[in-house]
Amino acid sequence: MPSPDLGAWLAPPTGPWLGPVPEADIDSAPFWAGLRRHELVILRCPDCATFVHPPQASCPRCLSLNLTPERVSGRGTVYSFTVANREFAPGIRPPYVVALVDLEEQESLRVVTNLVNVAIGDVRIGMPVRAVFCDLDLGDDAATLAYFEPDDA
Amino acid sequence: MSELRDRVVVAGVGYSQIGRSTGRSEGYLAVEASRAALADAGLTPRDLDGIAMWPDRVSSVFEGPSITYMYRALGLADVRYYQAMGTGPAQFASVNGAIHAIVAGAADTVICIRAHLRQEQRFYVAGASSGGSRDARRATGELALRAPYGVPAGAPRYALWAQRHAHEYGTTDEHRGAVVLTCRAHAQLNPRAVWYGHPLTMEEYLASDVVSSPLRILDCDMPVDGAVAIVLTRADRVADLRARPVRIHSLGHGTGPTLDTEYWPDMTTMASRWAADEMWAGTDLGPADVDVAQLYDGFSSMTLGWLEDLGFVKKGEAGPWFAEGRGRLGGDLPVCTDGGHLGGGRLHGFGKLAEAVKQLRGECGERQVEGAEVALACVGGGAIATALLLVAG
Repeated sequence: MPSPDLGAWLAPPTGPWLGPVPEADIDSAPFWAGLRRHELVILRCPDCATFVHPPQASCPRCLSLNLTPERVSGRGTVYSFTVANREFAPGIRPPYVVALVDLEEQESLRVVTNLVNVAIGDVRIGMPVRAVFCDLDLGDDAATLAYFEPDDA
Repeated sequence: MSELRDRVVVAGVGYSQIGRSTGRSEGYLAVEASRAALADAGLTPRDLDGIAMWPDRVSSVFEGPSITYMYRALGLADVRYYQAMGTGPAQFASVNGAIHAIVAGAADTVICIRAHLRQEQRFYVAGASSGGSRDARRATGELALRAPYGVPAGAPRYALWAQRHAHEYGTTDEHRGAVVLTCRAHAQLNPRAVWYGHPLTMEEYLASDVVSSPLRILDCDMPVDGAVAIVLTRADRVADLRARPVRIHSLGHGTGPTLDTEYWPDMTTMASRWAADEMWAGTDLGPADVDVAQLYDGFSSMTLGWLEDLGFVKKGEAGPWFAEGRGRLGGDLPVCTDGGHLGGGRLHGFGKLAEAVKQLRGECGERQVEGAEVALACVGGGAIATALLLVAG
């Protein structure tokens, strides 16, 4: 498989979803439920105001066990990215762009995502991006992923 | 950490056959390597009172024979110490555990084994295969947050680190290529290397496919069937050994700001920085004393990171250092003298320790670093790392 065409346009997935299917657990249920509503929801510590991601039981700063879900803006910047050009996970067709997005609410508050609605060659570290939600076609069930696109606003 | 200084020695190292497709089970290869390591040490399975493995088949995405299998396959009985870890400080998790066990008196002589097969490494989503059923494609826990974005394991995870390093320090394709060419050149001096007889030019490297930018296919180590076993014992038992012993002089485990690969704050510095600091704190030796360095090269970008994090060069200078040929045999500090995993095949870190030992014994033939007395064997990359400093005699 040759190296990817930098002019190729990255579109959100369409059609039946053949890739890995995310499964919520008790800690991550608010995160996944938020995505179903097309909201980016991050756990936050009510005692010291720290945002916590990935979802977990405790605040790493003060060990509070009272984390509560909070909707965030969905805006951030690309910390790093890679143009993936192999089927690294079953059913995820290359090329696609994996990005680490640092959300604007807190330093290094990071989510793993794919960039969409952009040409491969236009992706840059530091570019402002915003969340865009995509409902996966799983037949009689559904799940939603948060992708990110350039934030031109 | 200095309480373990020189208290454990490497008694023996052994390789299985190594190849792209051996047709053997991982257990078969693990026993081949174990037999070779015991013969090298002049010991038998009855001399072992410990066995340590990472990972264990039942608990990890990385495969390998289970410790239960190996206990049975080696005919062990009544060992005092056994340990198989699901996770730990990189590929030397078992070696770390064995060293600490011997220092603590929990065992005297421990065999550490790593074996795996090439074809098991296609997908790292447990049970997943392309077009598999919905149940087979479930991603849970931390994997749920990245597998649906095509980041289960392997190149994309570490490409993200390499891209950030390139962004901040100007690391180029040619810099990573210099690591690959260094390893490939050394592989031409090692008949065991999978790329033996296949030299590489920079033009060929630059023409190879980008698999996960900025990483090319040749920046990724070469998957092989293979196993390596290491026998460790108490330093006061050297009189019982066949080969010249090699001392474990200092050891550092890297645990930096997180164990998460994707959520690591500053991806231009790996866990190797923390491992290196701890390792150097346990010795009076310094970078200038090192004669040969077996640095992890699961991806070429990791080798650049290790060289910087160990303090041999300043941040951002590893690429030019390799490009100037300073990591080649005859250069300032020969790196990956067996061809590494890029040129020799993926022995998942254990090849680092085996080659370091052979260099310190003077057994490396054409690729021998003359008079080598101090060697590094460093494994891991990104958020996991172990650094071992070894001294001859």
